[in-house]
Amino acid sequence: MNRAQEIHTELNAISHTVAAIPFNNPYALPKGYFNGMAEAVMGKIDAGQQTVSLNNDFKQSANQGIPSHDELMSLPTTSPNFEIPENYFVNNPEVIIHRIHSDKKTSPIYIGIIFKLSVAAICTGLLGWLIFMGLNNSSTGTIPTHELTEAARIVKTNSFEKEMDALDDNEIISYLNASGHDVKTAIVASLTVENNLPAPEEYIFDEKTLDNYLHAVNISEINYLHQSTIY
Amino acid sequence: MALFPDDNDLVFQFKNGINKEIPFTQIIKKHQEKLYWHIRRMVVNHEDANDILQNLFIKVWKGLDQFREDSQLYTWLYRIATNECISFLERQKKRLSISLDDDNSFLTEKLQAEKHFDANKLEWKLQLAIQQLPEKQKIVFCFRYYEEMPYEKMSEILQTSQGALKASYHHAVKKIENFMLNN
Repeated sequence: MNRAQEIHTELNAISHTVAAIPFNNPYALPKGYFNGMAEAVMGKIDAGQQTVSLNNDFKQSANQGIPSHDELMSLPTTSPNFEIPENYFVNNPEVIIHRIHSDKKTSPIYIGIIFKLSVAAICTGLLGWLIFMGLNNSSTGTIPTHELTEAARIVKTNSFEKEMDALDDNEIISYLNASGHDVKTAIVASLTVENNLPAPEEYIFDEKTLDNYLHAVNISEINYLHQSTIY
Repeated sequence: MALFPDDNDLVFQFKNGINKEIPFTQIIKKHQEKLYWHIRRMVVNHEDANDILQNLFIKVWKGLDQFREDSQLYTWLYRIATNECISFLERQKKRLSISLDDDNSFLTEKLQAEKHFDANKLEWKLQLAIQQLPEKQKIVFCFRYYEEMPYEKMSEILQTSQGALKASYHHAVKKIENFMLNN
């Protein structure tokens, strides 16, 4: 008894009704569909595509094969009420592919700018506090004179941005450490502002979204920067 | 029907050859049809099946160098395909706010939207019955009924005991019989 007979006998033993159903495949398949599959997959691999978008709204005719890029672009569209730049949708795929290929790592220079921005808020607060204390509590004798003078000079010369630019990453990290801030958290927090966060639904549909995002943030580089300053 | 080299040879060529595209194209051509129908019966809609199949091969391209060959390529491909289908259906259910238990009414709707669908024809009625099954039973039934897969092979793919698979198949057939007689 071959396998097909064996399976039919088994099915017949469980249910005569199901076993009696003619074995027909009712699903329609686009003509020549399998002829183009390997090329379509290799094309996407060559283009560096991560995964195919699961576009459920696009209803391809059952008589067509996998549509080419040109076929997709030539599909009729409804006129939208919102205006878009000319050729936006024509150029968009290339832009997206370019973005996929581009290195998402954050450069140390970029991190430096983010550091400076992060610490700017803290320094601004500190300056304000020093001036406030200087104006109101000068009689207590507890004002750090040097800092107050320095703050007054910065305010007077309006050179805050220049002073910020003069600071290097190590000075900022030392300052944050000395003032009891968690440097790593500050960096990650500032990076998350700069990077495009995944959309909320991505967390629902893909449990690895957070892992992928943290990987993209490139924590190892941050660790290196942090450790090189501490030790 | 085209003759293809043995899977082991294709994997060897992919891992060790200069041009990976040649053996990989052959892997696609060799397995695409069976995998497609496995996926199609699970998700019903051609566009969804097409997307899943292409994603599957892109994932295989990325992972084949690390494929340890503890199992056969065929088994590995089916396992990925099955997982992709289940993930896809779960995502759809979440999107439609459907309980993950066994409400497959959205698949019935997809089936009814299929070209040539005719609820009076036995073959479509069978498809409707299959879509009522819980996912695991549906997979087991389709493997056995359409692909004539031995329980041993199914056990490798689904990593479930043969006894449990036989029980699932039995339940599935009984549910289908019940649907056919009462609808």
